[in-house]
Amino acid sequence: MSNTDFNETGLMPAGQAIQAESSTALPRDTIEATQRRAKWLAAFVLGAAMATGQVPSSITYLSSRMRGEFQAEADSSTIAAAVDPALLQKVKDLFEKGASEFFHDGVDSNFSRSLLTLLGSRGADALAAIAEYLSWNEGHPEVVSEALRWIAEVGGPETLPKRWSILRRGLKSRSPVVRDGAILGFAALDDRRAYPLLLEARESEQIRELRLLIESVAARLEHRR
Amino acid sequence: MAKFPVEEWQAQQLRLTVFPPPHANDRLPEWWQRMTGTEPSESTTDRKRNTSLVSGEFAGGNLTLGLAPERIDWLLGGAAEGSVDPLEDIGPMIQSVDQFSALAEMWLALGDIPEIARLAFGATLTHPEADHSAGYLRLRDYVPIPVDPSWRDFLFQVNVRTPQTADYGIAYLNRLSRWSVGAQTSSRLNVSLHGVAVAAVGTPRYGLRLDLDINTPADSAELIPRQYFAHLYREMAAAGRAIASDGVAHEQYRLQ
Repeated sequence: MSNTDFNETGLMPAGQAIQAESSTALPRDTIEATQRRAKWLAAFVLGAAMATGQVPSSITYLSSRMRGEFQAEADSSTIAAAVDPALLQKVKDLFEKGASEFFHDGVDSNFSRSLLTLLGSRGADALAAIAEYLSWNEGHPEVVSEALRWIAEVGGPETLPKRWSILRRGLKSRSPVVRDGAILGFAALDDRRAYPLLLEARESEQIRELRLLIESVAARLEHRR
Repeated sequence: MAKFPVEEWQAQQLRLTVFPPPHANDRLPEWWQRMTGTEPSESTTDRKRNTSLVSGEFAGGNLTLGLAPERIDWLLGGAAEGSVDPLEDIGPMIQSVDQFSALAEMWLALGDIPEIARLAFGATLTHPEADHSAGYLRLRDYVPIPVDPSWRDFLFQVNVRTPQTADYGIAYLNRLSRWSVGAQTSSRLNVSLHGVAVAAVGTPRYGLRLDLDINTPADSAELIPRQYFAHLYREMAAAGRAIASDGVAHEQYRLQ
């Protein structure tokens, strides 16, 4: 079926799921996620900046989306698809390349742009590949931490369990940098059901700064109960 | 060519999948033994990925319980222990679904299974056909396309949602079906000093193939009320049987 009736280049109307291959619009969930992320990270970054006397410039984010890759399974399918080896290699390359970057809280990077492009175009398949890659424990902690913060932001209810599972695993990482990313990821998820999970993580957390961060996120979630 | 009686479908694989909400972590490998009353023949756990697989013989096939952070699967396949044919059928669809459903509903009634955000019933069904042409002509009775027997690699997939399932707190049911004709061939592998030779044995076995995936919406924010788990499963299995019986060429499925 031809898709030429949808040659729009602007943002998609709310609720419209079909997007032309020629469209350059950002996926709606990415846009909303970016807005939510900006709010959340602004609070944390501003707090950190005030403590050090530095105030960051405004947080901006721009990205585009790649379309056109064939999706073998229907959107409504519940079959557990195996991780695509080519996609897994793409994820591995992305994380390895990210190790040469320096990340600033709340500011996008080549890594985050590539990650969001991948998540926007491959959705659940990309998350499955990322989960598989992270299970190897090969990723550079700074890159994994950065990824966790962004992963929390992008996607709807259908990918929430996978994103939750990735973040939960991050909370148990040996690396404090990765745990930090997972805590901020749960903050960005802004889901009150994470409250008991964070309390549990606080009990085992040895680093005072991370305990304080957990407490501040948990307190915020608790008020949403 | 006319539709055949639904009793003629053979089940190759049956599946119950539940997607618990992210905070519901109960995953018990012992469910397998509790449901079957026998010891599983195999049980493996992957601590890195936090997944487990438990499997063993059940109802003449191989029953697998798959536990993962995002999903729980019960799978009944045809290849029992010792079988050399991985595509072996479990048996006639009606009886196989009945046996599988008895287990599925019993499990869904347990008090220690997690809350469920999404529920799915899946099945792979086959019907033997004389040859490629017969299979393609058969498709015409089940899909709304005048399939030509000279075509190759035909695949038809459609999701016809049911609109009214408000009783269960969900907006609709996805009724995904995929129709194709497959050919199964056997090969003999000959390993010698001169190398490995593969040769086809016998003639291919053709069959109409139907993959069913009946499921609740992925984006539903509400949990399915526990008292409806089994009811909903029954409704999904019935929807699968109706598609197997009528196809998607019926007027109610006619594409606009």
